[in-house]
Amino acid sequence: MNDILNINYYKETLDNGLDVILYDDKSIPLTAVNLWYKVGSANEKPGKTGFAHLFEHMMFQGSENVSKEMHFRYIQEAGGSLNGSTSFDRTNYYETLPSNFLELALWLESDRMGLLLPALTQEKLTNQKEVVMNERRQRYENQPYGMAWELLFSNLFNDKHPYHWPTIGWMKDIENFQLEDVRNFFKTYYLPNNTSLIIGGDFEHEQALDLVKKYFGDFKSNSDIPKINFEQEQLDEVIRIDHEDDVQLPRLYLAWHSDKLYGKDDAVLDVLSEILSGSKNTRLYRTLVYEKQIAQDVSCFQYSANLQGMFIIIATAKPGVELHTIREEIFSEIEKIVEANIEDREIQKARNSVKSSYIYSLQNLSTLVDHMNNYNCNLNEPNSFIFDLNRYEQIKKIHIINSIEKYLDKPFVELHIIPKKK
Amino acid sequence: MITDRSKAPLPKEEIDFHLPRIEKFKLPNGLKILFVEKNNLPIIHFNLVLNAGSKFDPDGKNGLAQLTSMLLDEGTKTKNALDIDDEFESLGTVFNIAIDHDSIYLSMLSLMENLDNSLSLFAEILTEPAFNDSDFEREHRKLSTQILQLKDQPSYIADSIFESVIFNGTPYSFPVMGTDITTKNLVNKDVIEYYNSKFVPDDACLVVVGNISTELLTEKLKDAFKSWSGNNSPNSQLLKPGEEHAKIYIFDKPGSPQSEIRIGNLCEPRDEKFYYSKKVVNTILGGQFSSRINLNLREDKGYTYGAHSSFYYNKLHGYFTVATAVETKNTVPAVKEILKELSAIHEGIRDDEIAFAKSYLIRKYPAMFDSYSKIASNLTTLHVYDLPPQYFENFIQNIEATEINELIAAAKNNIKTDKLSIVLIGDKTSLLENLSEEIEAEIIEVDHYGNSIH
Repeated sequence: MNDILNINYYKETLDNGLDVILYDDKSIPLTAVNLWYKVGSANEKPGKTGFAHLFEHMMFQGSENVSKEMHFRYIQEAGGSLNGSTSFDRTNYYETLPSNFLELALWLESDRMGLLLPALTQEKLTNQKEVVMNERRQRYENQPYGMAWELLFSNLFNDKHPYHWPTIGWMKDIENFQLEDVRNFFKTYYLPNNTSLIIGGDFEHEQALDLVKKYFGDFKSNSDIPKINFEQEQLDEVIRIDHEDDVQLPRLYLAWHSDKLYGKDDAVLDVLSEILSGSKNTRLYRTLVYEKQIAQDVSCFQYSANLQGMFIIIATAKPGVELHTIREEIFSEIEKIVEANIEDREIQKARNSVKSSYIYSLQNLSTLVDHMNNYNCNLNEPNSFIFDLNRYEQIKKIHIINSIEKYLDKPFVELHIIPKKK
Repeated sequence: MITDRSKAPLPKEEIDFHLPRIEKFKLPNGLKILFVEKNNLPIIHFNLVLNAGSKFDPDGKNGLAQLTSMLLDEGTKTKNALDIDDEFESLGTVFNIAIDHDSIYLSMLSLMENLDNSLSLFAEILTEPAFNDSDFEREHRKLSTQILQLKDQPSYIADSIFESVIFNGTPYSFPVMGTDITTKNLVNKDVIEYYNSKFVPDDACLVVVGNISTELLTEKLKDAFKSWSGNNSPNSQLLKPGEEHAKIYIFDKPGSPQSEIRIGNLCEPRDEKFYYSKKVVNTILGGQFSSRINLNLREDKGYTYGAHSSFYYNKLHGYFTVATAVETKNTVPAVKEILKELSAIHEGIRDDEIAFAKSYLIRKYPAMFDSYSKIASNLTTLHVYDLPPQYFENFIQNIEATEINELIAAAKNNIKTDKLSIVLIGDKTSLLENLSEEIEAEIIEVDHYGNSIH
């Protein structure tokens, strides 16, 4: 079964530093183009947050040879689908098109990488500022429990830490976006040597490589990309926050600092989250939802990012149940893992579901190349599915116990989202 | 050499795309099978469609089909919910139950190496549910808590009110989940009766996409479902929705930073004759990013993160909706812009818009068949709407064949600008300030389920 997770690819770094990866699969006449720019909200400065995400909007607003609205239109007219996303650490852009339109995609991607600024106007910025503010209202402010994430992160990380602010940015910073700052941010980070490009699917190898060189080859690199300065954050004591929201039921959030992406304990914490709440027959789900029925739901995950990770547990109270009851149960279950034994079955189950999820993810070309780009940007090796799975194969009970002691026995952020008093 | 970037590159020669071959057969118990053999990965996808959706909920017991679907995998004669879940997890198999007004769907994605174990567990869940009282109590309580929680969700409230208004007087007007009142008195006996009468093979369909031959699949399915039998009782005639009138329905959410907006009406049901014209019209009007409505509301005015329109279909009806969320102060201007766009599409459509829409729909067609899951979802559509066997082969030429006069007629017949229901979820006081002067229609304040509260 590991054979199919062993992905063949070709990789070349152009003279200007652009990583180019080709992955050949002629089973369907589609081609996926996927770019990771190594810039995310962690590259922003306090008072000027939200820039990385703003580009996920501005990059679709046209460039020197592509007028406003035409980026979308060209790809849609070709029958393609497209999007982008922003995290703490990177911004990605991707499209999947019928394979005869590969050159169109490379033309569009290169025009906005190299020639966005000549077409950037105050009018476009003002319009997309409004759109982003509405995105913030729709996805956070007008969503039940929508403010939880920024409350967690801004308390878990101090105001100088690059993970302190939300990826979309603070509303007041979005309102104050200035054209000059936007230009400078682009010039600093949107560079070939800060980018990894993958073409996957149905294409001719030599032709694709020539096209990439034709369209991306003349952009200049710049070695002055600022490094992110930060100090590993630790909490001295538990931080407790109560926040009233327009919700029916109280919800508890517990968040600890944990290991970073692909760190030594990252996969161990993943398995711990599976053992706690990955399915029905898990420690927290069984106790809180199935047996005692004091929670409507419980979930838990290792949120690993490039600089640091976070381990997060979330549970919603059943009507009439107090959050401290749920909190006590959660801690008692974690204690039981340390005191009593973990069964092999629990670890094996977690491994199996990770492995099958990787195999299932291969059926979608766009998902597959995005995964490969993640591996290339973080591990410098696009073919890392097997390496990744091996991290899980090596996990023993003792690693899980050690990780609980190392991370979860430390101070944490405890957030209570509670219904507004009527 | 400097690259000439001034013009968009043209495509290479047209691609060669072949639709997957669909096999159709029946098992001895009457279960219909739609199958596509696909061999590039060692996986298999199942989707069982049962003719048992929430429109069959008995009067006053709305939510019963939902609760039955929740209880189905909570225990069999020999396994409890935890055992079942454990077994799927250990196999690396993904199992899921979903429901809408028409159907209940049991889907499963399995590795081929675990097919036998996965299929046998799937069949056990389907044919030997335990329906223990203790499981009923737990899931019943879970359902009523879910209904409570959905009252937090502005987009859900908007959809529920819109559907309750346009489907007034029919089972489609109730949320699939039911309401606090209709779910309150459900008992385990209701669930067992519903299961016995509706979970039968003779009007169900099993969709399969996987790395297996027809012969071997048939053999395995015959074995897995050999104990499943029964016929669906004929359904009573479903009621027709009442007459629509242009009205504005407001659900008050004091202090809300945004308003959720739904505007639309009932339209012709899904049938082959008008489906393609509606599809092209909607692509131009609000069906994708570069549509009139999104470009106006988002890219020009900056009122919203996104606005779209759609023709939706259930087995009996069609309906048209525009949906968006906008900042509270821009709600009335946004509604006016939407109404303007709906009238404008009656008046005319440009040739370049038609060319763009056709190119978009035709060229993206191959991507609709790129994964096991997407092929399965297409086969499901084929069954649910009872589409002709040549539907997929003819799709492209049917889109191609639509003409301007048909598009305008489709817009006029299906977007009824004089009978639109407008649903607004937001801060009532702020909405009412300028609504009545700006838009001519009766304003009604409603509860979560679209009932007038005055």
